[in-house]
Amino acid sequence: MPILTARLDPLEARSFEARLASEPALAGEIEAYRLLRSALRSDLAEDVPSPGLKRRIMSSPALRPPRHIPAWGSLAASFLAGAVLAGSITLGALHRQAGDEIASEVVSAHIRGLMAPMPTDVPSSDHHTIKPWFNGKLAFAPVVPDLGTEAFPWSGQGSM
Amino acid sequence: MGDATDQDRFAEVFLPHLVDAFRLARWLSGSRIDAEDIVQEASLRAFKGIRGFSGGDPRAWTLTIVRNTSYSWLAKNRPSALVLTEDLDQVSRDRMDQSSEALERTPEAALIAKVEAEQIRKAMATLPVPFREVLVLREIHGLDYRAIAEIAELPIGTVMSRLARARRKLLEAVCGDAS
Repeated sequence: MPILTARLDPLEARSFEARLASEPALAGEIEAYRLLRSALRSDLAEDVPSPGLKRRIMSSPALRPPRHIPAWGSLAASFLAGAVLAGSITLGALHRQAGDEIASEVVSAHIRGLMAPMPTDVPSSDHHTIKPWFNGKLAFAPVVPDLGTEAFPWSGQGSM
Repeated sequence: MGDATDQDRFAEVFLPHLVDAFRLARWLSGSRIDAEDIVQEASLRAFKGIRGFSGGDPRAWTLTIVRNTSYSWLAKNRPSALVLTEDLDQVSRDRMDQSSEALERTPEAALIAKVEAEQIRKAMATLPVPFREVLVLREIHGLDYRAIAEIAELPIGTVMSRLARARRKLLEAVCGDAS
């Protein structure tokens, strides 16, 4: 049986063939296993998936590249960026030197413009009132330093 | 392969072996419909883990994932099919081996002229999955012992002995059905 002994070296092949000759039952067993193998392989042509399988796999959402961020998301992001920017400018304005008057006036006016649609002005006596006034207007509660002890008394309009 | 996307890698590594994947899942689950579900689940696992493929045989990598996915499916849907005689006590095992030895003594008597596909399908269904597994990987996929050992996570010696036992059991099942 050359096919069966193809993977054996010549010495093993010879001893196997000798055993085969002396044990007829072994040959019968081998023949039986050959039948099983061909039976297992008998419907290989039909042993294939439906065309739908590949289609379903290829169209699976998990395999798609990441979605684009929707337009409203970009808009909300830019609002947030604007609010953070305004907050930063406010903080920057608070620390300006007294001599930098024109620049600070421009900045203050700009900030006032951004904050224009305010329902009420809150009489400001100290920073405990100022800080919560920012709630809902900025994404963070800005640190409001108490400058009353320095050269900037509160003006009572929530802006400096 | 630096610029390849995950989709490219997946298409290169997994998709070419879809038929082999299906065949393994089909014989392990016993159902063509369930096999397609298993392969679809396996494809997701393969895609998620595609960067873990670092060269080597893509067919063996694919079949390992399909094999593990099949076992997960079987554990959920057909747990009794997973029981293997090695798990049984020695007495039960001896009893099962005795019946197969009786068969070996007169294999000619057990010989049938031809074994039909339907016969073999029914016989395979009676075998525990770990026996089916090595038979399918060997006889249908034509893999060598080393590849089977890798996919089934077994020592090579176990692959050989399990294959021998699996063939005996399959023969018994076919002959038992015919008599």
